[in-house]
Amino acid sequence: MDSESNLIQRLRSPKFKDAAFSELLDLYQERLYWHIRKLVSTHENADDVLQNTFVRVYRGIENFKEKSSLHTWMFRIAYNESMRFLEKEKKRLSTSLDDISTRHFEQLKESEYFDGDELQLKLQEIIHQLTEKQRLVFQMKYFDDLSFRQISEVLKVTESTLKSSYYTAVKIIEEKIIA
Amino acid sequence: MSTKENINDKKYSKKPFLDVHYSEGNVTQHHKDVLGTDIPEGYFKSSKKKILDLVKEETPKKQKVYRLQPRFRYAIAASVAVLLSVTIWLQVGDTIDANELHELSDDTLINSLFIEDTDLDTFTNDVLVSEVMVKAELSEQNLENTFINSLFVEDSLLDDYMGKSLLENMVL
Repeated sequence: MDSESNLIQRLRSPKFKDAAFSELLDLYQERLYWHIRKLVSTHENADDVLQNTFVRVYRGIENFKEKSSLHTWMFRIAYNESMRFLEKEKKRLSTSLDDISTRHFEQLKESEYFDGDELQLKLQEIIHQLTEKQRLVFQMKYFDDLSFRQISEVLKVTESTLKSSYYTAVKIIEEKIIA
Repeated sequence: MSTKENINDKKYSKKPFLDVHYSEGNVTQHHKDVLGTDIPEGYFKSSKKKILDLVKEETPKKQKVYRLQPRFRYAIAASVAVLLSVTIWLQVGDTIDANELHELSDDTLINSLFIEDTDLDTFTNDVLVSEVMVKAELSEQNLENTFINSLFVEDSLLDDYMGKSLLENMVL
């Protein structure tokens, strides 16, 4: 039995669930945090969404059908939670997701947890200017180190579409950075 | 310093900018280096504690199960059985009475259709008329008795009154 199957089994056992969940946090907390942070921009928002994500994982582990890896399943939950957060924000501010992206970039610049130089700020700005699909696939591929197959499972988009969006995003970023 | 020079200053500057990927276990540093984003010190430790506390609240508390002593258990079971039997017996009893009553009224109605007119006249003369006559005579006698009694009562009251009045008039 591999370590992931073993972990899943212990997460489903009332006797070992708490210890296994603590282990799960050690393994995925940091990666999921950064995945969420790039979607919701500020640390405060990411902290809230991360907590909701792990609570959902804890509740939902019994229903995990193992059609994908635990890793991909958790990324999907984190992505869904982030989208839910952005939808709420969109409704609250009566605005579009693109406007929220611009707003997030402004918030990020003023955040005490952003200490970027000129280049880093420029990269952030370019990423926030990409289309939603380009931004998502670029962040998940480049920063979260997910394969196209895993991103396809998380976003429910075909791999060929993802590849096309990714290479377009890379081209735009390279051109704008070097310009 | 230009943006191009800035890129060359980075530790991974020998590779094209977007070819630099983080190695496992260096996620936070990678984000800090490339995006300039940071987190509070000791964040993951405090966040882990917060999440564990949250899921602890999620865990349903075990409900207390109260167990009865066997003797009480048998007594309660017997009482319930008696109550149930009495209820069922009463319901069945009521049903039988109602059914019997229903059958009786049906029989009476059907039988009454087969009674001859002459029999009915005889019955009327013998039973109903005689009963009515007897009752009428009895009530007449009662009325007479009441009237006679009232006369006696009135006479005695009048005597009393007359006696007292005469004495009072004489004294005064």
